[in-house]
Amino acid sequence: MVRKIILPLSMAFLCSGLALSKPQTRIKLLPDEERYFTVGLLGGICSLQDQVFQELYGKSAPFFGAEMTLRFPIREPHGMDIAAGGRTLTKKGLTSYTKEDLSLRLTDLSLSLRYSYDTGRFAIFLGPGIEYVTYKETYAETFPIDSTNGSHTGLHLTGGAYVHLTSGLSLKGYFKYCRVETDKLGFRINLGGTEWGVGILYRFYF
Amino acid sequence: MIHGRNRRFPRSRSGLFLCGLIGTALFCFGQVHFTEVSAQFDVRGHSYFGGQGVSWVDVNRDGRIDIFVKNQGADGFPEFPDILYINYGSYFVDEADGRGAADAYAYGTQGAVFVDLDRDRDFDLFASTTYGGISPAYNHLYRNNGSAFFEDITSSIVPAQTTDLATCGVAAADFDGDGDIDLYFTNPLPNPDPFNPLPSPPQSLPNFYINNGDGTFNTEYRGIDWTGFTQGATTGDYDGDGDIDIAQAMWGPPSTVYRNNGAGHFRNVGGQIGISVSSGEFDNGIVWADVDNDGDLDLAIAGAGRIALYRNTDNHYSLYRTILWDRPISGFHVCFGDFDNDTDLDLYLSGENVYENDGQGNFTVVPEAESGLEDSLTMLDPRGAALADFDGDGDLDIYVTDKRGYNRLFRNDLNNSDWIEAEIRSDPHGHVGGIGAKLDLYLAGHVGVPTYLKGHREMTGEYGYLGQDMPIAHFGAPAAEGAKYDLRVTFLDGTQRLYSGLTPGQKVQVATISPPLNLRGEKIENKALFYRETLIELTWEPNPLNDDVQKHKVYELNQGQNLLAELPANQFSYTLRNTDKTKVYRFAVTAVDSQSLESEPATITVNGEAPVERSKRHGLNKTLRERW
Repeated sequence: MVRKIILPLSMAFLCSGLALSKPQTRIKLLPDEERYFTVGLLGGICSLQDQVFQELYGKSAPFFGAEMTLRFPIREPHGMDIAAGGRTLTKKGLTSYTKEDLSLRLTDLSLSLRYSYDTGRFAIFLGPGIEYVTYKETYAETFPIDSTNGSHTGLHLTGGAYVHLTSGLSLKGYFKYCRVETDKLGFRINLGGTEWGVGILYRFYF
Repeated sequence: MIHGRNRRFPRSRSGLFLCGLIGTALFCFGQVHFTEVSAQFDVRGHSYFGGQGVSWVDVNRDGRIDIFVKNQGADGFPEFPDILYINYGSYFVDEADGRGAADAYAYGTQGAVFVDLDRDRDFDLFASTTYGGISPAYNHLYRNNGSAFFEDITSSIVPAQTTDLATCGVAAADFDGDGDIDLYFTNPLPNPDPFNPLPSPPQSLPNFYINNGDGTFNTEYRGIDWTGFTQGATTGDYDGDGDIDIAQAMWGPPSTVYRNNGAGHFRNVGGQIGISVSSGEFDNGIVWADVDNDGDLDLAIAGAGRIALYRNTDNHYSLYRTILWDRPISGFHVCFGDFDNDTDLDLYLSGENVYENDGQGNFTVVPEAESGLEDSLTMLDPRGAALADFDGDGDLDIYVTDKRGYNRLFRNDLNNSDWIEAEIRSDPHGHVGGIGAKLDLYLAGHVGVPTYLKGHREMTGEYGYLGQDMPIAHFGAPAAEGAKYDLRVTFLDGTQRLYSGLTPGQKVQVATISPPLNLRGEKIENKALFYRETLIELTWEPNPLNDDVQKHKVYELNQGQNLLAELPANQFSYTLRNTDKTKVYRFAVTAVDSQSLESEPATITVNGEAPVERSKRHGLNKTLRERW
């Protein structure tokens, strides 16, 4: 667990160090003081690794979400982002043997610390974070129980890129790899996987 | 009821008439009376001679009892086909030839028996052929297709017959206790000299067709040596040990009894158990019947101008009565039936009279003026006879064959409701007729109490001299004072059926229902993402011995017998939801018929093993992997 936290953080600090060590010439689209706060909407495809999930619900599911990012420049174009976001995923499936209806809702809250390199026209970012996943699975009337719900925590690594359309509007594309596993229910469930998404963000400067 | 003095029959016919008249005058309460109706129903036989034996059986399953006449060749007529009179209610028609049952082999048929050889609930035919100088003289098997059309399946006897036979009496029963019907035949060699009065050296010749259960029959020797010319044969469980014994009437050597060891091997025990008929007698017919209603089989041997009656006491026989008659006939077939429906078995000798039972096995002749059997006394060469209620009026009628004259059909005119009949539609092994089954009728509420026994019958095939009664047990059951009766049926495998509170005038259809087959149980994991359910899926297959299943019942047996579900007859699976994957479960499944009879349970134990993962997605229905 400790190793999983240290490595991504080390990479982020390394990138920051590189940023501090070497001044760059920037293409300016954004104001010089690129400390900003963004809010945005996201959508994409989430592919959970769990084999049972794939068996019951299929290999992937769409999601929708939102994100807030606070960017602190270190030494332009390098900076650090603190991002908080959430997404929700719903999918219908069938039980493995009796083929009764299933309905799954996964809601994901994440908090990331990311290194970013922002040229003023586009930016890239990479960094780790923590995940907090809540789930609710609802069953058919014929099933022995009505539903189950709960929550688990995990980690993720995310990376992506922004394309700044205007000084206030950007498009975002990203991937995220999550690792959320539990065996609290007496059997192992892996809620982690890869997430591919796009978003549109609006930027507020301060 | 007729009463009469139990004494030796007088020589003078006028004296006979006088005694009968006096008896009638003194004790005239409800008489047994017969009317000869062979002409009315046109059942007199081929050219009015050649008759040897008769079987009553419903070959086409239409509810009416048909007649099969076993014909042997007579002078100048070596090939004499058998007759199959199909009962159409008000008339009979001989359809033997068109139905493949004529069995018109040289010198004809003596013994023949109808029995369900293949467990398809119809009567197949085993017909003997008697060697009379023309080869081949082989026995024949015929399979009934269910509609009384017979297919020759003689080739199912292995090895194929190569020796001519002089078979007379035959017998059918499950001799080896393996659930299928085997066959026995007498005189397993050609042309024995029937008039040799001395026993021959024993020859251990194969004289059984042992049913393999797969459509074939093995010819085997099972301990019954050929020691001389044998006439009739019969079966019964004389010692009450649950297996079928054989008795046979013989010319020359003593008539005797062969005890079954339970596995279909026989030993001659006649001398041991008191059958002391002397050598040199010409016995023709032998029959077991409970003439004193004490629940065991007494014995009668006919021939040589007399009937020897033996009482069974603790499986030992003692000669207690000899019946003689005035007519110059040898005496072939003795049959026992309750002709007056007064709960005891009366006696009829082919070509002679009815003898009324006093309840203790003492018989008094009923004069023909009272019985209406004058025609019986005019028969020229009376041979086999058999009893059946061919007109469905609840009393026993008689068909008698005549080798040198026309056959007779005597219709019983009693026509009251003091009777109970029981027809075995299927035994535990799926046979119609229930050969070997024992039926005991008691006054209601007293099953098993000997003093309340009102009749003991054992289902048999051919018996006496070449006669086979209808495969329906008939009991006299007086309805006086509202009497009710209980009927207990005991099958050869020991299982029993009890029918309580029967009222006179009732016919019982006895059927067994067998448990489902191949009951399987499996724990299966049914997965949701966040829940794992363990199912137990029970599956079974229908039992082919059952033809009247209405539903299935599923029980859990962990704590007593807990009924889980009643399912339609066409459902062969049941699923238990949300079970404990570590717990051991026991289940039972039964079949229930339209009479609400429930079979013995098929049981299964489902262990506390890891449930199997199984997926039905994408058409898969196989195990993916087992966990743990």
